[in-house]
Amino acid sequence: MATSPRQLLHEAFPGRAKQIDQILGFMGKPWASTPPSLLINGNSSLGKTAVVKATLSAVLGGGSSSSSSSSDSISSQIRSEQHLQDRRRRLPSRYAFLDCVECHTPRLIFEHAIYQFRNPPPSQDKGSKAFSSTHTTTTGTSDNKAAATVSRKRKRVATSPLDWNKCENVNEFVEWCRKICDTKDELDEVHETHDNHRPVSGSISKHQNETRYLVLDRAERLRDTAPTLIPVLMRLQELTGRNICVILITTIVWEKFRSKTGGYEPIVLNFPQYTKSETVAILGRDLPEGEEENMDLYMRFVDLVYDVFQRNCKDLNEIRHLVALLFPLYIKPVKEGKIQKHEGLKLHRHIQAYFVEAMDKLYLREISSTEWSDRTLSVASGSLSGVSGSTIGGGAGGHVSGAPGGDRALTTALDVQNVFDLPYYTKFILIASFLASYNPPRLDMRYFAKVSSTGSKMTKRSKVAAAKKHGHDSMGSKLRQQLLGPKPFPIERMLAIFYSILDEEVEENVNVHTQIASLVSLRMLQRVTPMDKLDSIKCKCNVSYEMIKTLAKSTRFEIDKYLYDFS
Amino acid sequence: MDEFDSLTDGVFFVPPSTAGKIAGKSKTKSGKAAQLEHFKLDGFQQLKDVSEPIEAMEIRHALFNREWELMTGRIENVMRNMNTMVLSAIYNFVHNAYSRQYSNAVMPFLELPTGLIFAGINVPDHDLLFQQIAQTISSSTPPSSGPLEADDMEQDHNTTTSARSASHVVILQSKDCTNLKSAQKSMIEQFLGLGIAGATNPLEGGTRLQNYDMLVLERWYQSLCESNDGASEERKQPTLVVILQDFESFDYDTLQDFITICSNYQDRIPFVLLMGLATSIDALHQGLPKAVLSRLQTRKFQMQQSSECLTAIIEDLFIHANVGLMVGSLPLKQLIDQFIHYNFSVGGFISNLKYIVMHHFYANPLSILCDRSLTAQSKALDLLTTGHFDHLRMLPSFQQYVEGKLESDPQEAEMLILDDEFLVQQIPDLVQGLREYHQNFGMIFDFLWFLQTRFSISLLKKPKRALYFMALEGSLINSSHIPFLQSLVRKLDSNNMMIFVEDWLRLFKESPQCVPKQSTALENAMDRELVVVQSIRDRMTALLDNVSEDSVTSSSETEDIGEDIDKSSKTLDGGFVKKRKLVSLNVYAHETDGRQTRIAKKTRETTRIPKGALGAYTLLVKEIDETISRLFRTYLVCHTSMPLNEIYYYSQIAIQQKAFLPQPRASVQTALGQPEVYLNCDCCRPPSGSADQSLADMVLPTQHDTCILYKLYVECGRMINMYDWFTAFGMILERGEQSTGVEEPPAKKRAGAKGSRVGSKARTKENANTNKLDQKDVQARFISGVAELQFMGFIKSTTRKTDHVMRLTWGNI
Repeated sequence: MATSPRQLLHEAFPGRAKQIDQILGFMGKPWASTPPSLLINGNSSLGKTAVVKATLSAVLGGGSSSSSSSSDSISSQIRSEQHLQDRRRRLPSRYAFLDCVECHTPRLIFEHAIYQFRNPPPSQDKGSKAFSSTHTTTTGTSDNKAAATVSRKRKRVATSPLDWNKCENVNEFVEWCRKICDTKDELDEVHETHDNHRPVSGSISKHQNETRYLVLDRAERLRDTAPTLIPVLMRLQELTGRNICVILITTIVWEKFRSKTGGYEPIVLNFPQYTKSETVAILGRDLPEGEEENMDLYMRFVDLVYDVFQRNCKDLNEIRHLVALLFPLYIKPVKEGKIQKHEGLKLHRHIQAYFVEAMDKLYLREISSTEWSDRTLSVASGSLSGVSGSTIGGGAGGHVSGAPGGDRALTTALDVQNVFDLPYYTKFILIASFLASYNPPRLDMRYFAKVSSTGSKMTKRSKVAAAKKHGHDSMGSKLRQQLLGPKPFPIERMLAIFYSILDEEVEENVNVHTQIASLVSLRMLQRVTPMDKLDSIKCKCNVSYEMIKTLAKSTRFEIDKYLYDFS
Repeated sequence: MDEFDSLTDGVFFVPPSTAGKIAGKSKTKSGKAAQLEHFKLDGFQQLKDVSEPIEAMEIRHALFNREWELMTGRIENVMRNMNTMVLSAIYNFVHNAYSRQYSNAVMPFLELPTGLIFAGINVPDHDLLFQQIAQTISSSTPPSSGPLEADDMEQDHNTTTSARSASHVVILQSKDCTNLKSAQKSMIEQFLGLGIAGATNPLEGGTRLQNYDMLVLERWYQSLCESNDGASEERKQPTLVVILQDFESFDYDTLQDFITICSNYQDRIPFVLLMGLATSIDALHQGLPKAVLSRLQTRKFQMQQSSECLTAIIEDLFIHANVGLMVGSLPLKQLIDQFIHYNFSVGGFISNLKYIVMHHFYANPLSILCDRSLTAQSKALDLLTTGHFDHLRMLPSFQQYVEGKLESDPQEAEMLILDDEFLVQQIPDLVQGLREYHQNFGMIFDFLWFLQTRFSISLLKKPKRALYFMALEGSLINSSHIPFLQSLVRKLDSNNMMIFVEDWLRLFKESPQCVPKQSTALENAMDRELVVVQSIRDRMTALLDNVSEDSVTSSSETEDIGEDIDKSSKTLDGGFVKKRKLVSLNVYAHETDGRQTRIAKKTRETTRIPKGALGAYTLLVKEIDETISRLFRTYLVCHTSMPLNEIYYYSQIAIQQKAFLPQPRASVQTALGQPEVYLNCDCCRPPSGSADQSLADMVLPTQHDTCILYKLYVECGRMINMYDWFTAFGMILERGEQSTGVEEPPAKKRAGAKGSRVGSKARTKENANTNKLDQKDVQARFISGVAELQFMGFIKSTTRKTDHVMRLTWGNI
């Protein structure tokens, strides 16, 4: 064993050396007393989860999967340690890793924790909690895909897990923690015989238990699901009287966790933002397979992407996403021999158009990664674009013709999806509710009364006068209707407007009301009054002005004539 | 009548229990048997006005069943065909979701494969659709696609051979997923319910896991895979498909967590999400935060637009099918209007149609003749009674027919009117005529459509259903649409005209009407038309051949035409579509060009064709024009001109409107404002002096208490003072007592309703001599009436003003 786990970890997580050292420092020797609780915070995708998990599994063994979620080179080195871990695998885990989104009740937290403590650390072929680390929280180094391949291809080993233990409240949990910490198992013997590479000899561990770690990822959820649990967890060490350490991983600061009654403070460990060189180093690990000879080109590209996007997007995973999807396009002309590798400027110009597109569509996920790669591939192969379009769209939207330009092809297919049709009267109901939401009720008479023909039209002058009367000009004032957002309106008022703006006479029938209900269920109208209140229902209109404009256009209704103080 | 004059008394309908039971137990009881008969025939009854025999009723019932089966069969067929392509795309997506990832996308991390299904805005229709999708996915073979998409078939074939594992599908609806727990629970339960026999139940043994714990699912999945591994090593792991049927109605917070959890487990359980979106992709972007969105790998599937489905159904059912019952213009308009204006609901359309079919066969005695296979030997003809004949002779179309006969053949007209036997003999012929009319109509309608699609000018694009509706109305022939199309045909230049005529001929030849007949006896009108078109074609070819021979040397332009013709004749067999596109492009260009170019074009045309041939060509074009015009005039005539069309075309509208466009407000207003409409009583007559005044405006003391209160209520403002209301109510009652005087007041409609008050009422009557109402009685009646109004939601109590109630309905807004 030439490399210690610490060095391996440092290699696996560029730019996180300090944090890893800190965590290792807090952990100390396996049986040393630890601080009762740690809080690790930092923005999303800064490697909090992955670092903690990798550190724990590297030091405490087991969970080789999380190690293998590091890059391939590292995992191969770690795999050499497997002989040790194979022995340890059958031993109960020293740590439990919980995701608070999944464990959304205290009971789930308790039971999952107990289960993980009592069972061997999740082995590779079973997959593990370690994997519940997600894209948003993993660092740039995890390669879930590869791991998933391995895990799926390998035949599943049928392990017989211990019984599931019921644990409903904190008291029971504390009791369980004591029990878990007190269990003597063969671990100590194992230590004595095989732990020769570890910095400590196992002789002392006979008398003292190793520290258990309870890790709670996305701990900010705890505040909603189990607010009373936080103080308990903070002093779990004290309550149990055992060597147990709680690690909370969160994106928010500790101040937001504090409860009114007070409690112990954890030690806060902050993960700072990656610097540019760190980011580039991480992205450098993502080099697609088979592109080794283009390493320098890739690094240049990564540099470029970082410079272009960093202003808008600090999220490492988003940049990785973009790099992964844009790099094939970047390298295409090189592979086709159109542009030489060293002609950086030409390549830059070539990719520029795609950058713009990516900023618009890809980053906002208006099109997904597969659609993007499908499109770009099909654009590359020319005539295929039409084919892929029709398989995606099918049916009526299926006749999306592949437009000649790559950019065009992307937009046309999108537009087809964004249009949807409403029944004729439903359109008017929606328009009427928009008017009711944005027009002040006192002007209804002026806009919608059918008695005088002049009443329906409002001259510009009277508009201005009306605006002036209320102490603000028509533009830019903070009291403008448009800026105040939709206001709730009673259904009756909306119906009155509806019947007034319709050209033809419509007898009131039950369909109008069912359509209102279905608009509410489609979230185009928002019901403000509670569902059990049947009389005087109030709603808000929940659609944008742009959409109303297109609706009005399709029904040839002049919406602008009826809107008060709108631009 | 008196026992049932209450609005509130419960009436119970007790249907007989299951048929078999009764039949087994009480065969002897004839009364029950008759009742049984009634239910066997779905409530069909003998129509008394024509005194029809029971067999006729049975025929109507049988016909109804047959018709409706035919219709539903066709509708289902249409719907299936419309979505096959998308369904197979979805199937492929799901089955390749986890194999594709390795080949195509090079993503740094796993994304959850998610299909977005845009299914149109009518959510209630989606149930069926998503069940269909679920069925498709969980079956191990891809949906059978029509011959249209051969490529897809091939692709599907590959998929089935490579991966034969069926996916497990659950459908989650928002109503099951109010919070995260219930969503997970519902998903897990559904998955486990699908568990293959032999898979160990992870819930057995040990303490129970909670039923919303994802570990349950994980263990179940492991056991599933293990049992699979035993069977065949090669087998791909089954994917678990979760369908979120109505995305918009889900609680977004729940959904967000749910998706996060699914993607957390993705490395252990291969999930595929399918989301049904009723609106647009914006809903997805509004509903989910970036962190969740970035975990999804979306792919969009556009289901067929429901308006397209409607058009296809109408076309299949009414234009081309030979089903018996058709829908006339008014009901069809109502059907379409309801669809377009209100709900886009195909399901609603179908149930509406069923109602029509049902009503036709239920209430129309002549519907026994509504049978396309009616011949002179049909049993239905023997069952006709004098009532039937009367009905027949009352049909407007029949009268029209007879009047037409009156001039040509007065004797036959007389026979038709007087001789029942003769009429019976005539019926099959008339029905046959109608049948032929319909077939010809279908074909010429296709021709019209063919004309319209040829000229891709958006201005005159009309959907098929609109055209059909015009034809039903009878306004199609005289509309400007047809002359416009004709003018476009006239403007075609010679080679395009040639192509046009060729296509025309092919259209006719391919239509089922013109299949080669065994003998000339079977020849029908369409065959004759075919001959006409053929002769035009032949003459045209000859003419153009001459022209090209003559002017081979004269100009290069004519050569081009010749080549064009050659080319087109070469591509005649295969390149139909291509050519059509070419033609329409040409025409479009003509239209968009200015007038000058059109003139230029004319002059060029004249240069092309030598003077001698020009005259002949012009004549030919004229003939084409006339032929087209004649075709439309002859075959697209309105159905109302055909005798006996009323038997086949349903044309009523009122009953349908009542059932499918209910107007709750109007009914309530009538019930409370004019109770006599519903109660059929004779006591509520306006006083003799004010005959001109309508009843609705008057408050009559004889009316029901609630009605009186309602009428007073209508006159009030937003707040109603209870005491004023009470006083007014008392006044009216008193007025009633005074006007009737010592006379016994007419039986009040409230008497039956409140049994407890009968006693007090009797007492009132005893005291009537004093002409004074008991104040307590009035108060009791007032309170019960007010309570009723409150129950119906007209008023509610308020704390804003003492002794007042708030008015809730139809106030001044």
